Amino acid sequence: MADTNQYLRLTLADRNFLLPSTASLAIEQKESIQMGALPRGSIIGHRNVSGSKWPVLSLSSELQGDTSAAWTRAVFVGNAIHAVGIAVNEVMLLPRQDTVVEPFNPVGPPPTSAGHIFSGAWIHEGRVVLVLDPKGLSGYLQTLAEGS
Amino acid sequence: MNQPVGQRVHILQIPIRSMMVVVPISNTAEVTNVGELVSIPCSPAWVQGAVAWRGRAIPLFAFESLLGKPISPISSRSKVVIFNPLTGRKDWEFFGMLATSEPHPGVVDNIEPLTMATSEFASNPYVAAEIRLQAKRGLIPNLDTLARVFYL
Repeated sequence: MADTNQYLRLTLADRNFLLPSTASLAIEQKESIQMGALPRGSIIGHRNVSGSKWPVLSLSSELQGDTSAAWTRAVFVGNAIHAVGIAVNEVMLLPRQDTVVEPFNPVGPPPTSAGHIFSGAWIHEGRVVLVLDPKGLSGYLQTLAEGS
Repeated sequence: MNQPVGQRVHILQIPIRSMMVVVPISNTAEVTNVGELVSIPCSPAWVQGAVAWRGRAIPLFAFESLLGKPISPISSRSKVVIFNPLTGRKDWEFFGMLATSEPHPGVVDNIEPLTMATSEFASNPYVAAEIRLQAKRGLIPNLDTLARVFYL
């Protein structure tokens, strides 16, 4: 069955992914992120929220650590206690009627115990745009952050 | 995939490098051109990416990689064989295998498995059997093992 939820289009490097809009805890401009003097692993900065630090990770279009990637905003996922941000070049809220997402199950083992990073796909102009799974993405980012 | 010996079976012969993969044609849904292949981040090396097919994303896997062989480069002759969902999976869980050239349908009257002890794939869990097809040899994938590695 087609999913008619609303989605954010995230651009990392030159590649687009979709994220259910309800999965986003916050979207912050780059200027409001506390930048580290030096990147620590994939972590390029953090956001201070009520005494806790939400790390911001910089990733390549293959979702591997890449602190050289250009970015303008951070999109935070997870929960208020264990939130993680992903640095993106662009964020756009897609019109609901334009986005028909079908279920997609990657083959092979998921990268973390939280499950696969993708759970859907949108076919746009004949090209596959993968849809991020909030739980799988959050688990993957947490694992990257803890390893940094 | 476990066809009794002596039964007439309609097959699809899928060329992958110098090998021929043989599957019952009833396991396949369509043979298509490759189209635009996008990578699936954080996937194992034997996953080649995803293509659009009938409004869905179809994951492609490289059977030769599971056999320990280098992955074939994609060329203008490459094709995608879309497989029907494996037993017990959801009806939208199609998957694809890249062929190095156009697959060919055929019919075999007697599947005669070769002695696996003489096969270089004797201990490979992804090969159910190796058969003789006229002058060639054909590999029958073990779909039960594939299901386990696909959907752990």
